[in-house]
Amino acid sequence: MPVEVRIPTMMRQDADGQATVTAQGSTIGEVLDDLVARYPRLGGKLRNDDGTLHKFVNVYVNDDDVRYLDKLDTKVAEADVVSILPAVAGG
Amino acid sequence: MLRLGETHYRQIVGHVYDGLPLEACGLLVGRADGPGRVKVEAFVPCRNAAASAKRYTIGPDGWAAADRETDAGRGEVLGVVHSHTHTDAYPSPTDVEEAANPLLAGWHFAIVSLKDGPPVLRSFLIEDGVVTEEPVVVERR
Repeated sequence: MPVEVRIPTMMRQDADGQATVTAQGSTIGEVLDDLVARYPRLGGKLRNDDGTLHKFVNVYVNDDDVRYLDKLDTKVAEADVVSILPAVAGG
Repeated sequence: MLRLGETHYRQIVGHVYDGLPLEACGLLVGRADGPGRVKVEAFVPCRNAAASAKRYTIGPDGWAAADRETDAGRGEVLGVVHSHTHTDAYPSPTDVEEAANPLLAGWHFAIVSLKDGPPVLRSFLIEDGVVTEEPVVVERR
């Protein structure tokens, strides 16, 4: 199913300059796969070689960080908004 | 050097107090103002998505608010401010570790400490794990 994916400023150059794209998938992993299939340069910025989510980015479904849900297996529905964000955090 | 207006400074300090007892955080929007100098054009108060007294994370709502400022022509996101409620205004080991992110290259990391009562604002560049303090200039009108 199609979901809206928000791309952060510093990755838009790898997504034809778009701030928001529509991607297909029923899980975060599928949505990212679809996104990377169309914008291959995003791939190395989103995932590690073993396929896990890169620590430099956070991925949210609406207001929830997928690392605290089911990570890449987190389910998404058509009305959900997926946000890819640079990981800005500290202590 | 990080230059900001007195209004920005007051917004930052107010947001930090409003966030207590949690750590507070916000994004800095502005532009280069000469070699090694940036001028803040907007402070974007953000919710601490980590909802913690010991950690902070900027979530999608904070980034969306920053996008509204950059879309309005106030520059780029050039750094982040967060509070240390009980420690000095100096990057913690966690701060240094999290700053090692190529997506944040060249960012300014400002910290407000409330440890000793009156707020203390300092700012740092963190590259390859090396912390370098930079001057903070609050411009009063």
